[in-house]
Amino acid sequence: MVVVGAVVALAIVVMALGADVLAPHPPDEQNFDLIEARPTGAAPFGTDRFGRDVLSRVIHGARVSLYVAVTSIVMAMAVGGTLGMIAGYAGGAWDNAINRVMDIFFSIPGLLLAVGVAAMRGPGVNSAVMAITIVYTPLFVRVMRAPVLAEREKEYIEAVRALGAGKLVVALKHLLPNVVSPFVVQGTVAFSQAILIEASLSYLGLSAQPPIPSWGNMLNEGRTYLETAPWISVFPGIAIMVAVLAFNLIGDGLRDVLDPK
Amino acid sequence: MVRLYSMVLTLLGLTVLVFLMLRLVPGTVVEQMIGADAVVSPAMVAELKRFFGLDQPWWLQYARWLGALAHGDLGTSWRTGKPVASLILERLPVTFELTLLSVGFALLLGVPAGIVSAARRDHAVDNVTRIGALLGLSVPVFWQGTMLILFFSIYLRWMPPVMWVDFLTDPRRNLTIMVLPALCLGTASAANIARTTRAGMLDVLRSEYIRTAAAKGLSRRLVILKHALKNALIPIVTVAGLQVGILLGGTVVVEEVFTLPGVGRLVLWSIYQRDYPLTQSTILFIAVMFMTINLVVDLLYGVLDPRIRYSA
Amino acid sequence: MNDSTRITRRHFLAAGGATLGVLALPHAIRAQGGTTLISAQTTEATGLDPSLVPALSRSRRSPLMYNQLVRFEPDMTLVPELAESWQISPDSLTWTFKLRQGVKFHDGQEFTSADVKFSFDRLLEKSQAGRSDFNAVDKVEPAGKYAVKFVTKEPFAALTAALGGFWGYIVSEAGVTKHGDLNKAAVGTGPFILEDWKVEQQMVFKRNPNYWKKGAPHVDRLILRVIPDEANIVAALRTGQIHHAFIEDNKNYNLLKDEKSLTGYRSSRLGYDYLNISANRGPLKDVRVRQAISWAVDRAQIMRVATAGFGRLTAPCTAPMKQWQLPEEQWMKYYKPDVEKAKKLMAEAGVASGFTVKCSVIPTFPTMVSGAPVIAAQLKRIGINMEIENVEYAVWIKRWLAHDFDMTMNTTPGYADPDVAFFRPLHSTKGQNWNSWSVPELDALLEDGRRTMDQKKRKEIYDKVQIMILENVPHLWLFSADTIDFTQATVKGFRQHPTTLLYGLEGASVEKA
Repeated sequence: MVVVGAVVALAIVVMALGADVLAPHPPDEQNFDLIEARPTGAAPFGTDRFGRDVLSRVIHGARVSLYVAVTSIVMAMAVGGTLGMIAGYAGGAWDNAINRVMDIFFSIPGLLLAVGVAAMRGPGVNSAVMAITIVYTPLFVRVMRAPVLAEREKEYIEAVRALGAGKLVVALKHLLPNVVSPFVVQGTVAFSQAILIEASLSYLGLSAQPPIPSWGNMLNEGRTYLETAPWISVFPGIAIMVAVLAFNLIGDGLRDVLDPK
Repeated sequence: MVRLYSMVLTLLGLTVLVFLMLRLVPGTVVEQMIGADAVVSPAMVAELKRFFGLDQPWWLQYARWLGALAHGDLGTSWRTGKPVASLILERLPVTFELTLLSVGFALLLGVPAGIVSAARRDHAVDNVTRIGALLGLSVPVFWQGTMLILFFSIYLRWMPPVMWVDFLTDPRRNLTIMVLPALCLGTASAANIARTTRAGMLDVLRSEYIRTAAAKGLSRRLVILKHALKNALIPIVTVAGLQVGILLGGTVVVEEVFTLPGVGRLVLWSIYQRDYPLTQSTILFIAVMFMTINLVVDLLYGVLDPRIRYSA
Repeated sequence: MNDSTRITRRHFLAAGGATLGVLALPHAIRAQGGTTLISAQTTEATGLDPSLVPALSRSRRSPLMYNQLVRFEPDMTLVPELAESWQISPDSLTWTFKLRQGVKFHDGQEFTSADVKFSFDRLLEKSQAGRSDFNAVDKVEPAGKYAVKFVTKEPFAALTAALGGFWGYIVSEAGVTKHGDLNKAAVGTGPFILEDWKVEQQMVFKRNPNYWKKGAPHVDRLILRVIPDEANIVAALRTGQIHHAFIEDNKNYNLLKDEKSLTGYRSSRLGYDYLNISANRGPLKDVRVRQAISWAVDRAQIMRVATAGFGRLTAPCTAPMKQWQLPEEQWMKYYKPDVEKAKKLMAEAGVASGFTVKCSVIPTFPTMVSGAPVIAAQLKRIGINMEIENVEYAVWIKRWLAHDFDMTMNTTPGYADPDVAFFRPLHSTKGQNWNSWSVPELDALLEDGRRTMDQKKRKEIYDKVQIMILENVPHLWLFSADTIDFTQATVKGFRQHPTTLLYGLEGASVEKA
């Protein structure tokens, strides 16, 4: 299963990177002789109201999804991981202050927080990145802090510290390797969720703006064509599902390996 | 007490955050009110800004809002002229009902699926459930909603009533409206619960005393339902409790897809309308609700597992 | 049970939803006696005061509650309403309107000349937008209880058009005094009395039993529902849950036109969609560049995508302004796409290699969203790289008021009189001058047109104005989308209006099936 997930995920990454070469048409190429055409050989996924090729747009749409998910999760992991390490290792006032601030973000349901932040910042890809980063940072703080807290009391850390190692060295060289597994597992799980949240934001018109194709905004545009041209919404939806599924499979597999319980 | 104190502190932080973020949003309620085809002088814009107190420094606006909140006054919505509290109360039942129905659906589907899956481990049923759960976790709520609408309206020629009716006025009609949204919203939770149930059951089934019980000659069905399930209940309740909170957030998307008049849509609408009092107070209200749910889950957890106690 | 409920059920049986049909009975219909008509809208009114709120969502609802001194019929001829007749003084500066007698406001008070004076004094004092329709009006004075004088600063040919426009509604002085403003309440002389309003949900009206038009309205209750997603409106029409809806997205006409249970209405709209160009930004300053844009654009293609073909190309005066519109051969020749000519003009202007401009679009306006990418693709052919910028409504208004845009998609409900239509947007000093441009010759013509009372001479002036507009390209008149309404087949007497205002509901009735 993990292998299937990995293969599909790789395919999606290749699709995003090589979109310009792989897609049969540029994503915004209009063809007025082929408006809302049903799927055929010429356009396997059909065309939309501007005669744009849905297949090409689905391929290009992978870019927005991956870009937003990668950027936001990496940022959330970096910021959250650092803060979590500080909170767990330094403890005391630091721990208290960081937790207080994170509690604020935890006080609002995740998706609502994302939608709220994006709506306030105004629509756009960067709003989506910021929204998802804000939702996931507190989570990574927590996932980093708890094991660090447990680990720092252990003998080997005491020993290293007694030998005169600096705080930073202890944190990075000795603590980090021992607490990183659950953190990475959480990262992959969050990654597939980030794809879903980005799609939701796009669908609500809060992420990538047309004419840039994203799976979510294609679905949104296709919504009013459900009856006459369902293919406009069917294919991007399948794309989202396949992508999320692939990364979920990887996440499950990683969990079994890295974080066995 | 400690918990309550920290809740208040968190909320206070939230007020500052929400307030400042809103002030950073470009455009105000005034432009929203003026409309597209208008010819409006800067003087009129200034007058309207004065009317809403938008010409005052932000800290004064914040202090006034907080002062009112301290007296239990959530403020008055700029766009509707109605008290925010009454707008929330008008829409709260919708969001509540949607959340409860989804949780109910998720439990009804997820728990039995998890049990069966664990009991018939690696059989066909188990595989189907596991793949189904993975799919359930991966399907975007709004797409599922759109596809269901498509399926029902075109192939079955049926549409849920478009005009909202609350449960008390006409329960049957209300439920016909709610069934699709609840189904969509609950799918991912059902998948989560099924997975948790399965994992929990497998843990327990492997344990010593269950094997003893089985060795004593108790029927497999009894062992699974009575002993194993009881012990797997703690993680299930925890996950279900967490799902309530997550679903509460998910309502914002589902309400938008199915155009239900709930609190989530109210927040989104108020942000678009730059109706500051409405956004601020509604978000605060949701936060209180969300934190309360989480608190209740923690307390419940303590009751189920006596090893954990909270000094709430 | 009344007739409307039965329709609903029959529709459901026809649709194969026999068991569910009962559940779909419109609750509002069941709860009330008498006939009820339910109409659905996608947008809620921002406020209801007919003298203060400049939004189309307000204007659209105003005829339900209020009357004007005069009004435009669906064929855009002017007919008396609260005024019975009028005369113009020989110097063309004083208009005297004789008022209808025995008309009652919703609160039972009699309508008199004092209310007319009050309404316009209030409008001129409080509403910048409303005032601009009546710029030339000096004062409004009662001439006895049942007559009123409008005194103008200069001859003002467009007065009656303004009175029949979006700002001509007569409110009750007592009503305003009682309620402060009329945003949440309504006190007019119109066919329906506002009973209840749940914002973003519904407005409930009851029949005005004392309405001065005998017999009207024909339903006991009117409900305006807000259903934000038009897909749901389509479904509600099909399943008989609503009686009437104005369709915003014209492609939905295709979905409904063959439904036997529905009656479709389609006619020309007074309003139009246009591409607004700032004439003070970079290459756009050069009239040749604007002309090049006009030649490069294929309006028929834009119209086809944005309105699913349910619309028409238009001169600066749209089809319902019959008497003002140029003969088709005079404007159509400007609309024949000619990329070569466009390229040549670009070269003459010294921008043969092209340039980049931004064009804003409000994401909630379907014709803007679907029109802009087509224009972008067409402009690419002459080297212009048009970047589409999605701008939220509130932000768009802010920029619009500041004249801060290169180009923007725009849409207007239109105007009955060319003075109102052109003077305000295009006069470089006395109008709002949205284009930030100056064409002195056009300014002079516009002032002339306003002062000229002779119909024939006025027509000549505005013919010239329209040609000048086509040649100087302040905007691109893209298309005029058709007005589309659907009602249940049992609804009789509904009439569309080119302004899309809801005038047509006062004559509507719901027949027994």
